[in-house]
Amino acid sequence: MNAERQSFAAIAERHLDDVLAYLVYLTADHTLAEDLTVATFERALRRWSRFDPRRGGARTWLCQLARSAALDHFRSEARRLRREDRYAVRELREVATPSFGEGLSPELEQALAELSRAEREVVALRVVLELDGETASRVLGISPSACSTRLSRALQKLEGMVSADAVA
Amino acid sequence: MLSPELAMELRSARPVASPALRERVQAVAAQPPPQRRQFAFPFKRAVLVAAPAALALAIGGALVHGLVSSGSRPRISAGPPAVTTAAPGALGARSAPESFHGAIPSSGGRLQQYAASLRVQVKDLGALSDATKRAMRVARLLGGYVASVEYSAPKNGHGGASIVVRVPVDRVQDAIDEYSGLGTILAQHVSIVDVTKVVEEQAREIARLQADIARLEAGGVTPDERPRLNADKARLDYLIKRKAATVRRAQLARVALELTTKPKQSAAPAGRFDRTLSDAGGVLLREAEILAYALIVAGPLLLIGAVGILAARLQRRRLERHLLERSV
Repeated sequence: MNAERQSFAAIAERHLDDVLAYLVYLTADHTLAEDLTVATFERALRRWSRFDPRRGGARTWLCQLARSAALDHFRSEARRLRREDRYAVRELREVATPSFGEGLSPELEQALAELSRAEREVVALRVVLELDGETASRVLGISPSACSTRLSRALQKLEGMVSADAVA
Repeated sequence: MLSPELAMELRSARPVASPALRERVQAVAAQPPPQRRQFAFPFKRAVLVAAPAALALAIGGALVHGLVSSGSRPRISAGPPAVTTAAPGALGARSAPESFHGAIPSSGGRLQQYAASLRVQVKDLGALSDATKRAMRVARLLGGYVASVEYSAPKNGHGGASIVVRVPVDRVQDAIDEYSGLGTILAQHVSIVDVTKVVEEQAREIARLQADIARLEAGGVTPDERPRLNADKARLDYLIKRKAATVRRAQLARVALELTTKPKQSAAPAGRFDRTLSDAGGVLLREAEILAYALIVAGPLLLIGAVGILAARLQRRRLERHLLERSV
């Protein structure tokens, strides 16, 4: 039992930055990403006994849990917004400027912010976390070819936007 | 493709957990993991095990049933039972050569009405045709005649012929011998009725009437006696014919011959292995029927459930795609 808990703590320590980075790219909201990171590890702890390293690495498993937590959050947010729209109590919220990391150029920050969540998450998995195509497609629940196509389009858009900003 | 510089920039500027977040996650990781449930029903594994187990049980049950039932009862042939029902007084089924030898007593000058019936089985339709023709020919050769013939020989089925012949009484034994030789005797019946007394009474009555008529005609018939004379003549005429018929019947014996073909040979009794397989196949067929019935009954509900689950999943995927298409 102690060894099991130790190993979970070690895995959490090892992959904390990966999970956070993935969630920051997915949500474009650092604060939300931190909350979802904690929620991800809570979820991971509850399901730790079901984790099977033979079916994929710990990082893949944690990214899958993180994605699931983020989607749950997006869904509940969408429901909340629909509810608020229905009762006309929605207030104008101040949207924080997204930050995808310390030291990123403003052009790249802006370009990343303009990508969709789906495009940003594939960039996070394949470029930032450097997962291979098969592992990234497993996290996203799509085929490797679809993952490759999505990445290619995302990078093309990213390059285009960064180049346009540089020219401007 | 992303330029190496851009990729390097993204990797070098990747978000890093703040000390506060690290502490929060460490606090989570320090918690004891929830106790694993003592028993978690593994549905997928259960299905993977239950499906082959149910199949094996069905086949095994069928085989066991086949084994048990194949050893417990003999297989009964589907053909009609070859039962010989002898009429009262019949002599029973006998082989042809020994039938009726010495069975018909000599009349000894008395008038007797003979009637015999035989039921003879022949091999097949070809033999039936030959036997029928021979029976008719024998009747004529013995000085008799064929009273009636009914012949039935369907292409596929049980053939039969019913022949009634009349032969002189003194040749009836020859007729029976001949007919017995046509095949296997299934039943025989002989009846003998002595009509000597009847004929004698008829003869006496005739004599009396003839004397009476002669006496009336000799003395001259008065108008009062005319009706009586006419009645006596009519009665005399009737009795003469009746006596002649009785004597004729006593001179010609009635022989009824019924010919039948052998019932189709039932298939050789199957071995125990074959019976086991057959019974097991029957049980499996019954199980398949029950399964098909259950599927027919539950199929629409299962289909609706499956469609519902699929629709919910598709809706969920669509919503996810919609959520991920947004940038914030």
